[in-house]
Amino acid sequence: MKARPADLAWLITVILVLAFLLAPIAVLVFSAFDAGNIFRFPPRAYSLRWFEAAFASAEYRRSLWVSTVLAFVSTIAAVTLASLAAYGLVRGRPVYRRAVEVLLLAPLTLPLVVWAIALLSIYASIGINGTPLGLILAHITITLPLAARIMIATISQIDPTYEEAAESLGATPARVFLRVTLPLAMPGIFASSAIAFLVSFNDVVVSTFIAGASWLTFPVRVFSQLRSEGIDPTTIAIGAMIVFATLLVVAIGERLLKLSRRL
Amino acid sequence: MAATPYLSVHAIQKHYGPVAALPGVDLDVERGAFVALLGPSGCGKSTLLRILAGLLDAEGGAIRLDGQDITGLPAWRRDIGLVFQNYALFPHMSVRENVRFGLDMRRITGAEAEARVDEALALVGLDKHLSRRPSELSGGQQQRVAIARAVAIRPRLLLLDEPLSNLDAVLRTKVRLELRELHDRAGLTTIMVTHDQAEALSTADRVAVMQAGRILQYDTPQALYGAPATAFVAGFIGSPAANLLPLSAAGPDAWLLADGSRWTPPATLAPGSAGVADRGDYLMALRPELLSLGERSPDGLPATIKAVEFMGGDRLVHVDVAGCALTARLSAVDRLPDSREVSLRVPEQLPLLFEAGSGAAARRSRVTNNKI
Amino acid sequence: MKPLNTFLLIAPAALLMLGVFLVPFLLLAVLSLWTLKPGTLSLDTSLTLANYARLFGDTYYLGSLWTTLWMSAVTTLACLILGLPLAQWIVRRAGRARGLLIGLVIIPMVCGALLPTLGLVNLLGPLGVVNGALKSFGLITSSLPLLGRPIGVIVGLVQAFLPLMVLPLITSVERIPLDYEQAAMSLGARRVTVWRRVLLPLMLPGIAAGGLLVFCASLTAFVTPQILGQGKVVTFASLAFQQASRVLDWPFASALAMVMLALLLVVAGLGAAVARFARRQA
Repeated sequence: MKARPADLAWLITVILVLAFLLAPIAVLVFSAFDAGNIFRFPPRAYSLRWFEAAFASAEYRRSLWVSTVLAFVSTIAAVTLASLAAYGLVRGRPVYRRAVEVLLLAPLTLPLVVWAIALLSIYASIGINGTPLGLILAHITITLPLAARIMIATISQIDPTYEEAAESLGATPARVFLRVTLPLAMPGIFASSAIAFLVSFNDVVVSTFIAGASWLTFPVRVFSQLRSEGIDPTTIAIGAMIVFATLLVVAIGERLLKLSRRL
Repeated sequence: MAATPYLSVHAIQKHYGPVAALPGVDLDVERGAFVALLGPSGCGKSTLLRILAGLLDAEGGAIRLDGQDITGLPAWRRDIGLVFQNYALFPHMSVRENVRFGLDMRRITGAEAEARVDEALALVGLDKHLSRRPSELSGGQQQRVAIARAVAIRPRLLLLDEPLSNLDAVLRTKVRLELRELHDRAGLTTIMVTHDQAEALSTADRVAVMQAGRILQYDTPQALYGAPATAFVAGFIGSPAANLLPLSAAGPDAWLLADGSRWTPPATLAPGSAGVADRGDYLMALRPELLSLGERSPDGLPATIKAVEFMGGDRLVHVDVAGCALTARLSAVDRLPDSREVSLRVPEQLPLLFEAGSGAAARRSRVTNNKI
Repeated sequence: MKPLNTFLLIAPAALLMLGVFLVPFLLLAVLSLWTLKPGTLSLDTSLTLANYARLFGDTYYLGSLWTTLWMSAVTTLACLILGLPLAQWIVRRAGRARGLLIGLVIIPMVCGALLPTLGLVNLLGPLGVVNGALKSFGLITSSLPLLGRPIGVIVGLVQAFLPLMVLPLITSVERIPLDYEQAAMSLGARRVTVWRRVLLPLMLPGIAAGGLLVFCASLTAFVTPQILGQGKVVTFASLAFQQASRVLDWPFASALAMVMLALLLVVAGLGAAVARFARRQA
C-alpha cells in the first residue's frame, strides 16, 4: 500500500502512544544509573553504585527472597489447580461449566482492593494475617484466574481426536494424559506459569494489605517505605533489574509461546 | 468358517438427547471382509463406528468380536485400529514415534518394535520420512502414516472414518485401490465409513446403506445397484442416482402421472404385469443411463428438455415429465431429437417399483447382474 | 469422562475461589454494617448504617469520591483516544511486528503497579525528565508541579491501565473482516466514512469492554494515586486503604469498599447496556 500523509500521521501517533506507555519503565531503568542520591535530569554523573548497594543490602535481599518464594509456590499451585479445572471443564463439559468459569475468572473483573479489605479482616479474625499461608492463599487467588483463562483456551485448542487416537492404540487414560494431553498442553502451561509468576512477584495491591512484618515482599517494602521516606535509589536499581527480568520473560515467552496470543 | 460371524453387532442403541442416533442396529461382518457403511451425513454411520471403537458407549445392545463380548470394554483394551478422518497424528512425535505408539502401549520394545514399525510403514509404502514430524508431510503421506499406526498394533478390526475425504480427487481414486490392496495383503477385517458411494461400491465387499440410524440394505455393491431394497437406496446409489417418478395405477393397463395425465406404457411396464394393485401410489425408479430419448410416441413418456449438460464422454439431459424433473444420461455421440418436446423411453425389462408411502419395494427386478 | 471425575478435577480450584474470593465479598457487606467500639479496635456487631451515614455526611469523603469519579472518567477517555489508533495499527498494519507490539503493550500489566509508578516519579518529579528537559531547552525556569496534582495521577493511571483498553480493542478489531472495509470503500465510502460508519460500530463492544475495565481499575486504584498524588490527591480507594491498613477501622473501610463495589456494578450495568445497544446496531 502506498504511504499517505494520513498513514504517516497514524504511524507517528502509534509510536508516541507506545513511547508514553513505556516511558516510565525506560526512565526507571535509566535513573538507576544516576550516581546522585536523588535522581535529577539530566544526571550529573553515572555509576553502578546503586546496583552494588542493592546486592549488598541484606534487607532487600530478604524481601526479594520472600517475593521469589511466594511467587514460585503460588505459581505452581495456581497453574496446577487451573490446569486440572480447565481439563475437567473442557473435556468433561459439565452442565455447570459456565458458572464455574465465571467463578474462576471473577477476580479479573472484580476490584482486588475491595476484596483485599475483606480478606484483611477475615485473615485477622482467623489469625493468618501476615503469615506465609495467608499470603500464598491470596496470591494463588489472584494468579489462578489468569492461569485458568490460558489453560481453558489451551485445552480447548487440543483436538480431542489426539486423545481418542491414543486410546484406540491401547493407551490407558493415565497414559493418554501423560503421553498426549500433557505434552500438547505444555506451551499453555509455560505461558500461564510465566504470567502467574510475574503477576505474583510484582503484586503490591493485595499484598500490601496482608503482608506481615516478617513476610514483607519487595514491592510492599518499597511501597511502604516510599510513603514514609521517599525513593531510595537502591530500590530503583532493584526495580530496574526486575523490569529487565520481566522484559526477558515476556520476550522469551513471546518468541517461544506466542504469549500475547494467549492472554 | 464358524457359524457365528467374526464381528456381530446386535441391537446397538444410542440417543443424543431425545434424538435416536441409532435406534437399534444389527450388523454382521465375516472375517477378512471389507465392509463400507454408506450414508449421508448425520445418518449415524460415524456414531456406529465410534461405538465399535469404544470411544462412545452404546446405551443398549451387544458387540461380539471373534467370540468375545467387547460391549463394555474400554477402547484401549479392544485392539481395534482406527484411522481418523483428520488422521489425528500426534504433532509432538515423529512419524516413527507415531507408528510405534501403540507398540509402546503394549510394552513391545527394542528390535521387535522397530521391526514392526518398519513392516507397517512398508505396508503403506512409506520408509523415507521416518524422523520427520507429521506436519512436514503431505496430506496423502499423513494418511499413510495414520493407517500404518493403526495397522502396526495388528488390530483385530480396522476402522476407517471417511479415509479419503481430505484428499484431492485424483489421489482419492488411487488411494481407494491401495486401501483395498492393503486390506487383502495384511489379511485385515475392515469397516469403512463414507458418504461417497463411489468409494464404497468400488472398495467394499459389502455395503451397508444407512439412513436416520437404520441400515436400509446390507448387500454386495452389485445388488445395491441392481436390486435396491427401498426407494431411498435407489435414489442414493448410482451417479447420477435413479430418478424416482411418482405415479399411480389406473387399471391394469395404464398409469396416472403426477399432473393427472394418463400414460399407457408397453405391456411389460403396465401395472397389471408389474403385479401391483389396480389402485395405489408408486415410485418408479428409472436409471438415467438406461433411459433414451426419441420423437414423441404414444407409449413413451411425454417429456420436455429443460437443459443439457455436456460431461465429456456423455451428456446429462434434464427433462420435465408431468411436472417432475428427471435426468437421462446419454452417450455424447447419441443424437438429440430436434424438438424439445420428446418421448422418454423406458427399458421394458427393468422397472423397479416402490410403494410411495413406505418406499418399500413393490416389485423387485429379476435382473440383478447389471453392469455398474 | 465420568461426571464424578470431572467434578473432582474442578472442585479444588472452584472451592478455593469460592472460599477465598467470593465469601469475603459477602462478609464485606455484613462487616460494613458493624462498627468499632469507640476508642478501641474491637468490633461492635450490632447492625447499623452508621458507617454509611458518616461517609455520606462528610464533604471530605464525598469530595474524594467526586475527585475519583472524574479522574476515572478522564482516564477512561484518554485510554480510549490513545488505544484506538494503537489497537487498529497492531491488527491492520503491524504485520510481523504484531507479536512484539502486543508484548510491549502487556509489559505495564505484568510489571505490577509499583515499578512503573517509581519510574513516573522520576519522569514527572520536580527534578525529573520532563522538567529537566524543558529547563535545558529554556522553555521553563521553575519546575512544573506535576506530582501531587490530578494531572500527574491521571498520567499514571492512563499509563497503567492503557493495556486494559488496548487488548479488548485488538480482539474486537480482529473480528472485523478486512472485506468489510474494502466493501465499503468499493461502494465509494471515504476512509473517514468507512471508519465512522463501519469500523466504529463494530468496535463498540470492545470499546465498552475496555472502557469498563479501565474505569473500574481507575476507580479502585490506590497505589498510583498515593505515590503520584503525594497525599494531596486523595482518591476513594486510598481512603479505604488508609482506613483498613493504618487506622484499622475495618468496618468503615468495608463501607467505603461497598460504595466502590456499588458504583462499579452501576457502571458495569451501563457498560452492558451500551454493549447490547452496539450489538443491536451491528
